[in-house]
Amino acid sequence: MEILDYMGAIFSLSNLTVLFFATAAGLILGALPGLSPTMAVALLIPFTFQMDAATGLVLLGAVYTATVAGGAISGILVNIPGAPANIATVLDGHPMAKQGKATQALHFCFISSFVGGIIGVLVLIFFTPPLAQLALKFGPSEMFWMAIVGVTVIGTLGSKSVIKGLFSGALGLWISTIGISPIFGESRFVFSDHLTGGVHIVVALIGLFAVPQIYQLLVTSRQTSSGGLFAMESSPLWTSIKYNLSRVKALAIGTISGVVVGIIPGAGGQIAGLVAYDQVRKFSPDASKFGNGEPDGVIAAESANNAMVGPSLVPLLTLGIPGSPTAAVLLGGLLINGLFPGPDLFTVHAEVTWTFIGSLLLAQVFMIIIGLALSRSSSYWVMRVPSQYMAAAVTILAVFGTYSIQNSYSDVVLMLVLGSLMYLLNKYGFSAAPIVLGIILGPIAEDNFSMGKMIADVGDGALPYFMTGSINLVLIFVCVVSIGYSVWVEVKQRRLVAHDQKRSAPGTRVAAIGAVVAAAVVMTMVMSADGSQAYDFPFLLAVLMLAFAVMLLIDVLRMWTREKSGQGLVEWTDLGAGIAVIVAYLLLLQSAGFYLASWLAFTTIVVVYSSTKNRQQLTRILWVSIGFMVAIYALFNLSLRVVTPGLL
Amino acid sequence: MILKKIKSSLVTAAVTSLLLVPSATVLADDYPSAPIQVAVAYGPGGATDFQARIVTMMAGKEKYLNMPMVIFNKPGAGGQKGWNWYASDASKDGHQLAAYNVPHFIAQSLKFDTSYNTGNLEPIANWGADPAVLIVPADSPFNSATDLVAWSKANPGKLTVSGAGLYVGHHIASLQLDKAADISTKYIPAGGGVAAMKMVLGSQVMAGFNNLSDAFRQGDRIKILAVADNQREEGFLPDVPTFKEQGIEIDDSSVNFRGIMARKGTPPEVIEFLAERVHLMFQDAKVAGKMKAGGSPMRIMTRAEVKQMWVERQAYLTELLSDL
Repeated sequence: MEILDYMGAIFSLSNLTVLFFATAAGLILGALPGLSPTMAVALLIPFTFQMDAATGLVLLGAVYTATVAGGAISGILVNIPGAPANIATVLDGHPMAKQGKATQALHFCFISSFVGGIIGVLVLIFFTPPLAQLALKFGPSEMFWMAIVGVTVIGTLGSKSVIKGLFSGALGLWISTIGISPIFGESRFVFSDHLTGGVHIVVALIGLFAVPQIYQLLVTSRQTSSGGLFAMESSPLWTSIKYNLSRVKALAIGTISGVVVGIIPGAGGQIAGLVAYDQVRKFSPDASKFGNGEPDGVIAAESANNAMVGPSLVPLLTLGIPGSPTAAVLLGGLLINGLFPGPDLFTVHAEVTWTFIGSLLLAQVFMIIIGLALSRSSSYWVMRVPSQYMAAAVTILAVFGTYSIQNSYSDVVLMLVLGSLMYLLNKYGFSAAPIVLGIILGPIAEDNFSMGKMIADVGDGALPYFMTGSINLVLIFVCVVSIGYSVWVEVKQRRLVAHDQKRSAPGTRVAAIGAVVAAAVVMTMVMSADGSQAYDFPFLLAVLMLAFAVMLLIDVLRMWTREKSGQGLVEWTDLGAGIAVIVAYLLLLQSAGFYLASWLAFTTIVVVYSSTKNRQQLTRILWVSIGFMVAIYALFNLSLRVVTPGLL
Repeated sequence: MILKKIKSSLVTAAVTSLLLVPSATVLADDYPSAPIQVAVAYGPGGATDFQARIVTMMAGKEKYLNMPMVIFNKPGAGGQKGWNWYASDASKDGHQLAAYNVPHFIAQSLKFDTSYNTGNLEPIANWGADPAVLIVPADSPFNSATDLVAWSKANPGKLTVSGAGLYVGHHIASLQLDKAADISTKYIPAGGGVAAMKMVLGSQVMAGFNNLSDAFRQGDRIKILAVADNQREEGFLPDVPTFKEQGIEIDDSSVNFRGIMARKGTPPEVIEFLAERVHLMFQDAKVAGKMKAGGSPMRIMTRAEVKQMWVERQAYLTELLSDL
């Protein structure tokens, strides 16, 4: 236990101060859409230039841990995951909030994050050398199968129908192929200039989750007069702790999934939560509870994404190979202090390294204390915000968050367009999670398949390359089990409902026809491109999309006349004004400048969607909008130094 | 009624703001009148971003630019997105500059439909040069570049070589190796230098080209067989011979040069001012200290030297890539 020699440095006053502020800032940054852990760490690196090595690293490590947990706050309260790592948390966390259990969901989130986080760092402390060797064994073939394991999760993810889930997943995989292919150098499906750089995962995440939520909030504000989001039950902390710690199975599954995914370089913690969520659901005696506010879903997802943090540093610290995108940014933070990954880190620079690792452990403690302290007040606060204000605030945050990822106006356009389409898809029973998962896994699957094939072609051929080796075989086995289980559950469920009692949900016909049309359009685009190798993977996806769409259609045809009425599925009358404002906002962004346009958009949305419009109310809106924009300016311009075009 | 009001106020706001946009020409005497933005065409945390942040950290000092330099990232499509934006939309008053990577941006401008090329950009100064090195796993039977070439001759087409991507320095070096040694290697474009390194560490490929600085940091976990440059890297790897020393004619065309550039059309006074001061700024002792600590080799070059280098690369790459 070499770490014990450095307790003095870990518990020094300056170190504790840094940890406190970094954790608080990380939780808040993580809760904002667009400010993913990767971004937060990258933006803070310049600040560490002025600090000594240990302090700088402690700051980055604490922010990393806290942002991963903070992303759950917005996910649970507003249904918008702060980062890809928190997608799985939203699936049951937001339904819990809607049932009045927001505080409880946040409690579970921080307690589970703490448990997972501590175990993750302990793994880092005790098992670094053997795990580093394992990490290196993951070559293209193993990474390809890893991505396929992820794909098999898609079908069960948050959709009511497995086929719709699979179709959404294939659609997401296809979206990931837009832009210039890194392996073939060919530009694919770029039918608009906005698409040359492809669809960035965080841009898609914000669009697919935040924009439908904006529309939903606008509709809510028209249809209810009081305007609050949801009621709230009181939840004593002690009850939450007792319940949470009694869910040993969910915690264990979450933590193990997080640790395993974390050490695999490049797989990224983004999928740790989803893999854990899928596993805990499959092991549950009553899978139907998931998606409707099952605490186990939150517990597994959050313990997984924080358990991933420690192990993702294993390959980074020993080999200089980061296990997650955020760890990659952290590498810069190490190098700038002259700390080269490798054995030297634990001998020559032992003090800095162990202070850093010890502080990561302590950061978990700060995270749970600050997080739990914030749980009640933040959910109480969010609950009281009237829907129209919430919609306006989310709109502006989504735009700034999206822009700040790559300083790109195209990304803002893409975010709003993708999100608006997602609102429609939601209405017809498709969900965002499998699409986002597809976008995450697409490049991992395709690039590793292509690289593996290149290597195999000059060696023994593709079949032995991909189908032999112990890790490959294990992963293939996991895939088979995962698919087999999903099929078995689907068959079992269908038998339960007698055929003639079934009536299809409203909009099923439109959904099936829409899916077929979309698949046909993608297929046409693939076929009309020259048949180069770069289109092999998109072709496979088009075939899958078409197959799932046809399956959907066959399902519908059997019950064609028995569809429930779908009148008013999309509330166009309530949404018209909101859509008009958002389009005007988009057009004004570049000419009028981000801050002026955002202020106008915020004010207009709130004014149009407020039911009372007397003088007092308008004055209040004016002050709130100005205050909000000042806060946005302070955050993005002054603190994060995001450069926005236009005058203001 | 309300919508109408909003509409008219939106239009008014738009018109007012257009009138208020400052005129594009700024007198050089006032330059710089605001913080200078430097666009980096790669994501935060990568080598280019990381070095750009170090070399610009002293800009605010009066003897340099008297204004801070602010790095902002515009990544995407291997750098194409950021450089396309820069060459077509950035301001020409010297308040928006960009970091360049040679040979990447020149090779891309030759192979793809880009809005940038050496003709519409103006070099300011060069701060670093990271040569490509040939690496193999620690347990590889190859102990020199000649060993590797001999094996490849005996097993044509079987040698797998990883690198960071298409048309980056590593790819150029691998094309040069094929040409100079008359062999045919299988180049695997991994998604970035780290991924390419991992494939060598895990023996998924037989060899790789990677950045000298990253290879140096790997210590004895890999073997470094040769440096693709005209001379040895005395600072970090004095014992590793160049390709030329091993009888393989590979020059410095694949060396990854990093520096700062402006758009063509920037006032000449501004360019002259920048060329002088930025060149000085790169030599600051604090900058040198941080760069050395990070294991990033520096090579400071004046505007004139960079201009010359761009012309040479352009000519050479046009010839090398024409067969592809």
